Amino acid sequence: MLRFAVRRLLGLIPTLLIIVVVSFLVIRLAPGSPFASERGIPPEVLVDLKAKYGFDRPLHEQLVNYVWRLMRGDLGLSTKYPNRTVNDLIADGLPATLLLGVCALAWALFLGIGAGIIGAIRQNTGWDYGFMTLAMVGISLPTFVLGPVLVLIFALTVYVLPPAGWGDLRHVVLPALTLGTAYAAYIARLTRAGMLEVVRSDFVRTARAKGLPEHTIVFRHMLRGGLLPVVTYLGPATAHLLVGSVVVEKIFATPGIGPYFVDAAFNRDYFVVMGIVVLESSFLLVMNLLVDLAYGFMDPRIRYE
Amino acid sequence: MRRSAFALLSVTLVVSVVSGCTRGDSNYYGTVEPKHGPDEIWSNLGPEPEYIDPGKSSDHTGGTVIINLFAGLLQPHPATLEPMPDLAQSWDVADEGKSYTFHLRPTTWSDGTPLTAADFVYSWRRILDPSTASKYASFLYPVRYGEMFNSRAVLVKGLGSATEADFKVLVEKTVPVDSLRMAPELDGAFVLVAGDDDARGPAREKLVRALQGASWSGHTLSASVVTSDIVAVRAPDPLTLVVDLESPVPYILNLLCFSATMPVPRHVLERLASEKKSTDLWTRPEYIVSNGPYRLMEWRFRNYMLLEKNPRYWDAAHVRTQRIRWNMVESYNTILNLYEAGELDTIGNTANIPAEFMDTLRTTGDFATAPLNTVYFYWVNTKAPPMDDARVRNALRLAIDRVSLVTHITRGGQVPSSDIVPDGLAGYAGLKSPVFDPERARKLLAEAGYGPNKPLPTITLTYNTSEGHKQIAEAIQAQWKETLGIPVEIENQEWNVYLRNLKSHNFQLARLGWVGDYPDPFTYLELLTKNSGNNHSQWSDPRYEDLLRRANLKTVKSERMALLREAEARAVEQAPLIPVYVYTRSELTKPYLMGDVINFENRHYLKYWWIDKRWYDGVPTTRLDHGFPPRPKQLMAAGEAN
Repeated sequence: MLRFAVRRLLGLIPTLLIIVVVSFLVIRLAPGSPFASERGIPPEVLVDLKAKYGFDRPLHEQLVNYVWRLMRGDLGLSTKYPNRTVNDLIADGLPATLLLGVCALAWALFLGIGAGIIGAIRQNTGWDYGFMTLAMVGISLPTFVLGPVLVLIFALTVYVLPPAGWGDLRHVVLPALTLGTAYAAYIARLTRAGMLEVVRSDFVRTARAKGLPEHTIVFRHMLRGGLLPVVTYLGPATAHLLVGSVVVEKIFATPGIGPYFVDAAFNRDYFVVMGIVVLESSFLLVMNLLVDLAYGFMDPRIRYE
Repeated sequence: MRRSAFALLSVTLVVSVVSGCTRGDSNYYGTVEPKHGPDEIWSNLGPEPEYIDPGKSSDHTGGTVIINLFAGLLQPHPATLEPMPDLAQSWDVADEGKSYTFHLRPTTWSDGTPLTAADFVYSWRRILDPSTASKYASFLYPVRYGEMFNSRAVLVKGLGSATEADFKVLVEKTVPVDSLRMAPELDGAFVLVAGDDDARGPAREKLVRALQGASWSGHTLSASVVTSDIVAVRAPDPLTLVVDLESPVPYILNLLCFSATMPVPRHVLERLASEKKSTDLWTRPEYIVSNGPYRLMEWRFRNYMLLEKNPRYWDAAHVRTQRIRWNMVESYNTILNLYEAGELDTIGNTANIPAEFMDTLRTTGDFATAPLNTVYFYWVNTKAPPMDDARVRNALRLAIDRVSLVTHITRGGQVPSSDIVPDGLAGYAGLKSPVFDPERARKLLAEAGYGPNKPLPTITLTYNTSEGHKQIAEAIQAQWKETLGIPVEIENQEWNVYLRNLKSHNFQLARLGWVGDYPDPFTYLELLTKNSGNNHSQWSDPRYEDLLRRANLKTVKSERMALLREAEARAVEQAPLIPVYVYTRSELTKPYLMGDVINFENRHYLKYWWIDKRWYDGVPTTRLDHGFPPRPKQLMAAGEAN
């Protein structure tokens, strides 16, 4: 088990390196420059601007420099916010995004698994149809619709929560609900499907035959098997939640890292784009590894050698 | 279920629109009772500024922060933008408008350090220093030799009476020359070497090596890359600043209100350098020292800034509000929500009211609108056929129905305009060229030889990706088709790609907006000069340039304006750019927020802002006066001050 984990962790390094190299080259292929502006920049000023970021060196040299600095944890300078490093930017924005992501995830799991279980054990009843229709709506409803609707109801019609901004926990509620609902809907459907697969399996029948109480059957036996697809889905879902959402963070003016990637791509803020790519791919790789490890606990048939 | 979700959605939309208009007073949008005390204001800054360093900032948000944290030699009147004394109490003009002596009032930085004329000398040389890499360095090019320093010119001295042609031959033996500027007053000449970015440095070194100590037609030459000392700004004593200009600049006092000319605290930058820290850090709240109405207390990235009144500002007695909170919210809809809920007292000077809200909000007491110093136009690539023919360009200009465009498409009260300079700018009477003349347009096109037998080839109109620009382009496409019968294709490009194509002249017609840098017609007319660096039309016209040059030598304002008008008329008929409209700015401001008005440059001066306390007790029946200072006397015009 431990050997497996260590081997997989080491295996992440070349994967990450390939991601870094490919993204570095792709972003540099995009036409335009980080210093493009409507107003002409004096030529000698441009020379010094390029030198400040090392853009005056050949591309391969820049790549080697970048990887070398990356290994020491230095993500470089932002060209859009020139007196901040990418490390600063991420340190500034990540706490808000993480808090939002964790709350959204908690909401998604609570609602999704709850609705999924009810749907599965009350299959083909009004409860089941009701929850699954809601889930369908939740998946179909984009955050840029759900967010403003929640704001209209809870911040502008009855003022119980602030419409946007950041500061205390009241500011987290609406964005977390907005962000988490689509995930909750998907989790509900996965949970229900997973539970239905095991509901007629031999080990559940055995448990029933042993005369175990219903809640023990549901939570100890069925859920462990039934949640496997959810856990698979949770790997990438958590990684996405932890790097934030452009739409939700813009609607609610959350000072997180959600909009960084898109904005930086438009601004050709190369090192910020790279920083977010590195962050998100690291999250994704680690999450997937955790998912693989979790299988071992969830499904007694899986063993790691 | 799907249907009921939509029902819910539409119900809430209706509820919110109704409640937005009925809560508080029916004439206002959202709450009208301040959610904070009377010594505080909540505004919205908009996007995170790039820099808040006067020497480095080049974006609008950065400029807004700087004009409120720092004070320069002059300040504009908050409503009319006429220059008024700030740190400079008075000034003398000499040498036919080419030399200014400013007499500073004794003031200090916010940490108590005295602010002297030497701070200005340091700051102006710093912004002109190419290694500062300031994108707005060209704002100080009017200062004598400023451009030479910023361009890393090589100064060759000891030329005696040698001619420019002879000297050029000598220099070109060693390096390729971009331009030469003879400087007989220095017994020398400036050389700007030509070449790629990485070739110019070595070329300069080569030139200096070749000419330093060389003897040439009986003279011994000296050569060096110019240093900051050459910039003609001096501090003969701590409260006197002497500035020599390249040539008379009629709008110099307006330029000196601009953020780029404000001083930076040399002592703080030098302390950081001595502590081996990056001098870029000086604008962080823990280090920043400023000299304007406010001090920066807190700065959370993309979140908010907190300002507090600077008790050491020389005019602190007239700063009316103790604390300002600037939120940094970018989404316009979010800003409107926050405004409606009373979490913002104004939507700020970067947010635009979405077109779909315009009709509803226009009727509220919060709404205000005013024209801006910004022109919406299309560049014409005058080297790309068929637009190399001025008649074709002019026909295109005249065939746009601008009134219909602003009434039905943009809907923000924009001013239809076929001119380059906005009408009424700083006492300039606009040309008021016809904004739509289909008859003449067809005639011009026929004169150019195009008609039913020889149709104009398809032309492409490019714009940077945006829903608003797209709608305008589509309307113009339809209008040209209808009026002139010409086929037009429209194409959108992402901003960065767009700018690259614009600069490499890879376009036929391309949209742009131009914000005037100072309230003077020249800021727009200069755009079309050959060397402006922003003239993407490739149009150059000796007669036009001559008119401009002669205009700026005039000291009598009316004579100068007449020549500028003549120049503008020339450019309008030549149509290297096709103006569409003058922008307007629409804002929402809570009725209790006083002193915040929209001026021509969209600059908002917090020192005049205050809360009308009567709104805590209900809706008052009268509006108070903003309490702005009186307009400065017209004596302030260049050359007439004493």
